[in-house]
Amino acid sequence: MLFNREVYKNRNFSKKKFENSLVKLELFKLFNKKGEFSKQIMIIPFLFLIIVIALGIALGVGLYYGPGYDFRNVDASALSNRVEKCLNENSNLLLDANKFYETCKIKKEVLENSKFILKVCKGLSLEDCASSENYIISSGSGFENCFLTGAKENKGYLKCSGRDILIDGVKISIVAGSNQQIKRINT
Amino acid sequence: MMIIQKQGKKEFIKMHKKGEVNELVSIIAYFVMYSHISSYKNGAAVWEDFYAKEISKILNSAKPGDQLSLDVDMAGNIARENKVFNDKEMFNFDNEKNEVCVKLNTGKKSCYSYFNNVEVIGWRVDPGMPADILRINIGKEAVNNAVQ
Repeated sequence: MLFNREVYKNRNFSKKKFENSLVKLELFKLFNKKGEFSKQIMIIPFLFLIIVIALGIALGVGLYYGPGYDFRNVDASALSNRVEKCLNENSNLLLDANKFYETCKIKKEVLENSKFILKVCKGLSLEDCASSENYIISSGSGFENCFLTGAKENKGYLKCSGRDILIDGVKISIVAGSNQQIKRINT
Repeated sequence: MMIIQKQGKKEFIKMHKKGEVNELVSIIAYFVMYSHISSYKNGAAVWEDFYAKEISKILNSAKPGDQLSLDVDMAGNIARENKVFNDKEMFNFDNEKNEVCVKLNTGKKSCYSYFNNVEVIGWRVDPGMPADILRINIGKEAVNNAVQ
């Protein structure tokens, strides 16, 4: 635009001078990479600003509405209660646990997919049951986390419920836990 | 001459594109933030969370053949304010996944799982005076576990 035909005619540039200036301009553009870099780097403060605003809004909403309704204790307690009741009514499951889920009407897939844990042991204390490989029923992992003293204050750890019961004179330990979180799904 | 004009055009297009990228990023960020904030409109996300968990609790203690009733007046009011009028859209039960979903605002819904192996065969919201009541019918036969 700057070097249009009119300017070229009015200022009486010679053709050679004009071509030389063109070459100089091309060379300038070729080696003047600093200018290009400064233009492109301006996207970083812009993105930084967007991220800071987004985090501020998310934090504000989170602080205003609170951390949510923690239901994991209730889940864990309901599961251990269901198992206790079921074993009391069907003590034969202690000898043959193959039909445990069917008899107790517990959906195994949900326990596996929704971060529930469940372990039932015979003749062991709750803590020993959590770390033992000698169990009647086990679903999930990380049973030891239920008995970590530091984990009680940590909201990220699962919430547990443990029960010691006596069935036909045999001590049965039930360790149940839940770390299920609400799922927000786009519709 | 032509070269410079072309270069100028290219520069202009480049600048224009850069401007477009900034605009695009701004628009995306705006929509993400807007959808996040609007999901909390009238406390919808908080009450979705509450009702999904409470319903999962009563389903965990349900037996085959039960008929359950739950006061969902607050949920009904919020959903109507946010233009969600359909009962089946407001509360949804997935018997395959054993999941209850609650939707009180357009856009997102909150889902929570229950471990009890029962089948929800029907549900409706009775708009009543003084409160809306969610009625859930549990099937008489428990669902069989496919995998043991």
